[in-house]
Amino acid sequence: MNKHTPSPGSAGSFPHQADDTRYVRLNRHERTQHHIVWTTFVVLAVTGFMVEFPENVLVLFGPYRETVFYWRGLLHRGAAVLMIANIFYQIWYITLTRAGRRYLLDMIPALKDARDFFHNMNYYLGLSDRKPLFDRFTYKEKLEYWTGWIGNIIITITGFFLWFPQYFPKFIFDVSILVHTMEAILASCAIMVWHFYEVHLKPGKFPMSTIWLDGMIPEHELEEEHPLEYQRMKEAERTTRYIPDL
Amino acid sequence: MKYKPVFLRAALVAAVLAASLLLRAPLPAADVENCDLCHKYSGLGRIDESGTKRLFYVNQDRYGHSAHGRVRCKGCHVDIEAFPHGEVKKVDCATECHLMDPSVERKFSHARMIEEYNNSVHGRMADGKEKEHAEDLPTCTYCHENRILDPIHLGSQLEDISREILERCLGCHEDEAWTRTYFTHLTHRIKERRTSKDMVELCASCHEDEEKMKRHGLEATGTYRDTFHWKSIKYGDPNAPNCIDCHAPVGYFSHTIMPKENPRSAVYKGNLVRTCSNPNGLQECHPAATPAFAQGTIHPSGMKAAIFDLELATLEKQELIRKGELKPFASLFEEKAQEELTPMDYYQRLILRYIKYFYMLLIGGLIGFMLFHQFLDFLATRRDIKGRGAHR
Repeated sequence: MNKHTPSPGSAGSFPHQADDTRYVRLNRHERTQHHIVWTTFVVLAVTGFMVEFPENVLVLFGPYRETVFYWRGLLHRGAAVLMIANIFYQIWYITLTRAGRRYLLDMIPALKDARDFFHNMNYYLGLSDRKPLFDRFTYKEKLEYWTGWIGNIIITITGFFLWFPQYFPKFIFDVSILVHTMEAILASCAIMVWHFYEVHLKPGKFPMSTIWLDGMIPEHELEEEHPLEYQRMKEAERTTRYIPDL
Repeated sequence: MKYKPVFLRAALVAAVLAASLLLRAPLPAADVENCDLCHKYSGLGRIDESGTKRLFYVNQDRYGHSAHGRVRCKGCHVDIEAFPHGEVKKVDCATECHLMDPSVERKFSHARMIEEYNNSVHGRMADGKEKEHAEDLPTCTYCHENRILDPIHLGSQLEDISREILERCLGCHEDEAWTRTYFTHLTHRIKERRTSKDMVELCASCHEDEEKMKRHGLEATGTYRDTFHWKSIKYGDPNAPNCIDCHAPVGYFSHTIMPKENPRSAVYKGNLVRTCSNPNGLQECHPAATPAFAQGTIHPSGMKAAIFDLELATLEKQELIRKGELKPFASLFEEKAQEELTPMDYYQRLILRYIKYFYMLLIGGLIGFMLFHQFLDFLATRRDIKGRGAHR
């Protein structure tokens, strides 16, 4: 074992506090995008699923039911506009900035991801002693990123049809209402199972990974979770000073 | 001082009671036939031959304030001649009552309305003979209870306004009870008789009954409650459309609802654009409605996001599978058409159905995979941490 073998959980809930060396994992743009996504997602999910509440729950709103309904719709559309704006922000970022293009290239799925997946499964089942050597983004993160894009586009288009139904054939409306609901269920479940486990519930991460707040990842965590990226960074440090492109 | 809140509360209750006594008008009609002699006893009732519990108690005060409060008992129960009386015939709402219709100076009766109603889709007769399963069809009293005329609520702003208007009427009309009856007679027609929610529940009491609808060759409205129309009603939006708002909008009448193949129906193909845009209504609903928007069925059974069948339908299918009349899984891909569908409707429903199944599989498969994956990850990570702890 090399000397950088990390010891997760050894320094309390926030292991990076014990480490001095930290690397940039999410830059300012990426953090801002994440903040917009998570706030709008929560607002959209809550105000969206509110229309599915059964009647006996609505009794709890008492005389404010109508007001709640009005603000529910307004908030839902407001958050939707913000989320759509964020799509364009992301498109700008991944095409017109150097760090963004790097991010996009690193995110593209490759054969290595399939190999990593099977290797990782073997590791989970105890058939392999070592984890696969993940690069900057693991197959888990790539899956989440790209399903996020697909879901975001689907829900934006169907949501647009639901917002302005009378300009389109009713069949489009029928499809939209079905797809919008199902996609919302799918996305909410996926976030809760896939993402919340990865950044909140995973042993060593609880109560949460702090990368989303300051964008910094501790050295040992980077080395364990993204060894190839770690090596690349070390290499870059040796040759030039690493300057994150903000 | 300790009892102050109690006193306050008592005073408040007394004040409200006094106010309500003041606002309650005196009984409009005196019980000249003396039916009250027996019917005032709240326990008056019996179990009839069919085993049904029947109650014959009449609360004179409430009756006096009802829509029929000025009609004497014998005005409707016309066959009662003796005292004490025996079995009484069911009331016929077409009976001419003793009241004069001031517009034509003839005896008043609901016969005209009943005639129109009988020609509607809900009427019992068709082509001169009784329809099949006529017993399912709603009669007058299915929808109309003898409503208590109380169009204004105690303590609301309307109460003061109506009191003021009533005072003006009383300037010429001497009998307050009479004046109040006619005043409420008019004003309770201005506002909706039922809340949208009550209206939906009333129509749904039959139209969501799959078996009953099957008997009449109709499709149950399985998915009205999946529409945004219902979701707004659920939250109490007063502008959200209930059944009547689309099936008998402005220009149509709830008593003359026609089958959708009839050009006099608001949901007839040619009338749909107008119904959806509702140009003469209090509010325009979908003013930009196009023929493409206003087409197809709004609330077909078994569609949209209702992920699972209704429990009853599922049990029915289970029984059919047990008997061997239905192959397992076959029902997933069969469109059970209870109504004639146009090819376009048929294929649209098929597409919707396949989208639904696709998403059900996707949600089940992907989320299932994710749960499994993360569970393995949890075990492995724990094993990893433990192993490292032991090395140290």
